Amino acid sequence: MSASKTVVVIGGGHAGVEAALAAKRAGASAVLVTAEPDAISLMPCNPALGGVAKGTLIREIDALGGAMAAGADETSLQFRMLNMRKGPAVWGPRVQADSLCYPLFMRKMLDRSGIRIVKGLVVALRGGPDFFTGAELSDGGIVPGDAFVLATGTYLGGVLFMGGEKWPGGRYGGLSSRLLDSYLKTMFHVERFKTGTSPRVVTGTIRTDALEIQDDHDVRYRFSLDSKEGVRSLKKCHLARTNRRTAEAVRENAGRSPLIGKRIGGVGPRYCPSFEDKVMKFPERHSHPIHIEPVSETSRLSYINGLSTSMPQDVQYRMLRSIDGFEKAEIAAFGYAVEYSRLAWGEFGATLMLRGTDNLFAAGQILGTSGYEEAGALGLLAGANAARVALGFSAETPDRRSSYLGVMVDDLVAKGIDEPYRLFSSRAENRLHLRQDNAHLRMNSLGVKLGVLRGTRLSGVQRFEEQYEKAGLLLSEPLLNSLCRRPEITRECLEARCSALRELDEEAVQAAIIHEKYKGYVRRQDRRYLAARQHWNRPVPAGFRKSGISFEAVQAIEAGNPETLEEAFGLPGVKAADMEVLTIYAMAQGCST
Amino acid sequence: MTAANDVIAAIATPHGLSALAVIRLSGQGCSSLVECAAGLTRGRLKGMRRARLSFPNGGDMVALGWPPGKSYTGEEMVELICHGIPERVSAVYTVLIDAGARPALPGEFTSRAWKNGKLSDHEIFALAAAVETGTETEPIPSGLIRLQTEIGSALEALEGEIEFQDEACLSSVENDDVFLRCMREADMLVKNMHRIQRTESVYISGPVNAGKSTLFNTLGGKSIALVHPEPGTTRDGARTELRIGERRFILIDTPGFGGEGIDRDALETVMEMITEHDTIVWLSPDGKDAPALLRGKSKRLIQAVSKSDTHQISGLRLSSVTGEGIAALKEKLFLRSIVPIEEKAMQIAALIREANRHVIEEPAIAASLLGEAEAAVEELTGCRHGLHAVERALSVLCVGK
Repeated sequence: MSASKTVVVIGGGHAGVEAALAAKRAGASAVLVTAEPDAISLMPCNPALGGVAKGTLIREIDALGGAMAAGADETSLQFRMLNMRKGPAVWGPRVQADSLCYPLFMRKMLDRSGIRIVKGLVVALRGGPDFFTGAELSDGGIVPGDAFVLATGTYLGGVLFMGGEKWPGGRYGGLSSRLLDSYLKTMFHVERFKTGTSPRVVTGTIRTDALEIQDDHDVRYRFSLDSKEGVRSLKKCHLARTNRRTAEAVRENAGRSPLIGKRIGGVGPRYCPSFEDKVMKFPERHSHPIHIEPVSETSRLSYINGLSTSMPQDVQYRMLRSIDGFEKAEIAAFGYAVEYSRLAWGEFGATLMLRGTDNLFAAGQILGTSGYEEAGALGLLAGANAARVALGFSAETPDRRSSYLGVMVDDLVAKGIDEPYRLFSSRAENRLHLRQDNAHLRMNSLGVKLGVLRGTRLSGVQRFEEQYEKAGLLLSEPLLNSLCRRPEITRECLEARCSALRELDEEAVQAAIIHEKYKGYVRRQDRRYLAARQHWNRPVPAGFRKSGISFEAVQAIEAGNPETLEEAFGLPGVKAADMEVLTIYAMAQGCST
Repeated sequence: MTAANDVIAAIATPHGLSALAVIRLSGQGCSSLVECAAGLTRGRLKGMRRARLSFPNGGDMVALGWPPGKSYTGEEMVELICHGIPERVSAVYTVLIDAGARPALPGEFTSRAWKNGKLSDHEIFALAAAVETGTETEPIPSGLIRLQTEIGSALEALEGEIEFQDEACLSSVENDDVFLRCMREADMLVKNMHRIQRTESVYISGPVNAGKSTLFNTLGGKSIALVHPEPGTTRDGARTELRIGERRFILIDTPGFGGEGIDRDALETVMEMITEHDTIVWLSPDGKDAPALLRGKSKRLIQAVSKSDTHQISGLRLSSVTGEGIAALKEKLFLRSIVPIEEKAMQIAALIREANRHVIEEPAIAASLLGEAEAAVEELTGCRHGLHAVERALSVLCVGK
């Protein structure tokens, strides 16, 4: 079958791969252009997938037919369910992935889907400024297409830093797409972000007997409904702690750090700081935990999670060897920082189409996010929408109320960000509803709308839904129902009381139990949400200038002169945070204190 | 296009003749702008410095310079202190604008101070309220602010526990402590309800000769307003304090509508005085509804029929002669002002208590309930924490694998 329309994806990272696969599922043919075909789906930072909120996002990717979930199951080395004792609303499935096998698995998925991979460095787009017709390569070749997805990651104008050195590149040993960066700057407002990574150490040179073992969780779990076998725990991880001498190594060499010396202008993530940052910002803390994670089952290297640094090589050695168990450790690859370009706020909308264009989309770090999972989910949306636009359909947007994907897109588009964006469960107002157990139920309608759920994937989800509804019916019996809300009652307990549950799919029963548990609270949140929106028909309060909204928003409101809060929110420059402040201010003025 | 820290200038003292006037500048490069404009050597005003200088047509003056971080706005700032002769002041101001300073927007210095962390949200709110309504506004009760802060810290702790349990190097967040403080503050709030009061304005309005001033004197218990059977006697709004229970109100008499000639002005005067959060008592001797214009102005409008001793029209019947309906009106005013906030305080306390029960086993439920309590408190204080709980947690926790 040859599709008549082609989506060209620029970049072969986690966003690019999901974009190409989604475009294909949505009915277009897909071409993936990358300068490094051997580095597709690489994990240039920590070899792990999932976590709180992020794990749920992987489930959402699976529910939309994406590949990351199956990849996580297939290449898992160790599984942990984060927050296991804190209630299923915030469970965070996380695996150590085999970072050598994962790219092979993804490459297999691409080949199996019939996606053409073109080796080349994209320097510009042909056509424009609104409708694009091809991607121009550095060797002069053109890759023609009907829609385009930019998934450039850290490669867009990428600059690497280590100590006093600085050189162009998107990752260690990788190229930098400088020309594409200059080309995009002619059309869009671009800002700089920064991130970094930790050194890799030869595992045999670490005295692991001196370290704490990080235990895995022996539970049956699978990210993908398609996986026959779920995650596996094959490898041990270890935990070490830095000490005063590690911090001293940083302090004594502060002047040689490109970060502390402010040679890097880009903004880095607060939640994933470099070790230099930790030492300088929290001087009272003498010890920080360091996780030693296997890179692969077949690799002799370990990733030193928590020691992200861009210090010169001799300082990296001094830092590392100061840690108990690392006295003789050998570094195989040094840590470094990378600064890259991303599109500024307002340059893309909720369909991930770029402002003022008709067929150009973007996903991943170019939109300001960080993390493999965030990139994958955005890639999936951008790829599917690119295909839809190419095929003459309308592009779709996810809903903030029903998915983390929707929360993320809304945060990026409506709120705007000022540092690399990571998904947290608390970013979702109705986090009690956005859980990993019900991802397939929540995403179903978006999947169908986007046209990415078809054939066996769709019937798989439908079967799950059916089983879930059957379980729900059984659990509506009052006694069972009240038991669902007790934290100590497990699925097994309920099955012992109602054997009919045993006939049903385990995961569907679990999801139905968790649904009963949170139902009341979820409804309560919904009511609050609706109540808050109801205030939006209030007039813009006269004292809006003093309400604490941003100066930008004040100017926008003065210029636009909107009557109601809702109209104000429609103005460019008024962000969601301003809306919250303004609504509260308006309510306080109307309330009788 | 205005940058976030471009140089802004404003005359900081009121217009008119005075001994001294102050012109203020803030923003990156403002000291060199003044140095250039006044022909001083470069760098003369850098840091905490004082200099004498003179401007064409502006005479001699003193300039004070603040380095970034030390000033009111947190930016580089210069204050020029000159003689308060209006012509001179505006001449100096014009030179500064010509030199590249931008006239500041209303509240822009303060907004910069807030952005740069020099003023808290609470301070901004109190300041805004004070500027808006003169000195009559009481600041937000400190108990309410403490409660808001405590709920904020409890949420921060919870979010830190949920998001970063595996990666943060925390020495275990002491949720219990935070929650105890939270509950204590909520209980105090309920107990001290009577201390929470913001003086409310109650406008008595109605057609001419409806008996507004008579009601005013009856309620206020004094003869302040000039009462006369001749319609249109009241020209300016007399005001007095009215106490009902533990609540305080400012009672304001207004000129009547519906006469001839001068009454257009009367309507305009009244409309200008009243804001949307004031209470209006609409008084009419014939039971007619308040004009739409007035009804649109305030959602809190009480309609009453005056001179009930002379007719049988139904409604909230008031008579200053027999005293009919006066107690009912007082009760209405009292209930409207106190019930929502008292109820809310109890709701908040209950939410915090329930949240506390879920902290260990279901922190997400606890956070949801606490979020609801936070939103309720925000409604009372009118100020919202600019940052999301998880972002606040990030600024105090050393997080990151």
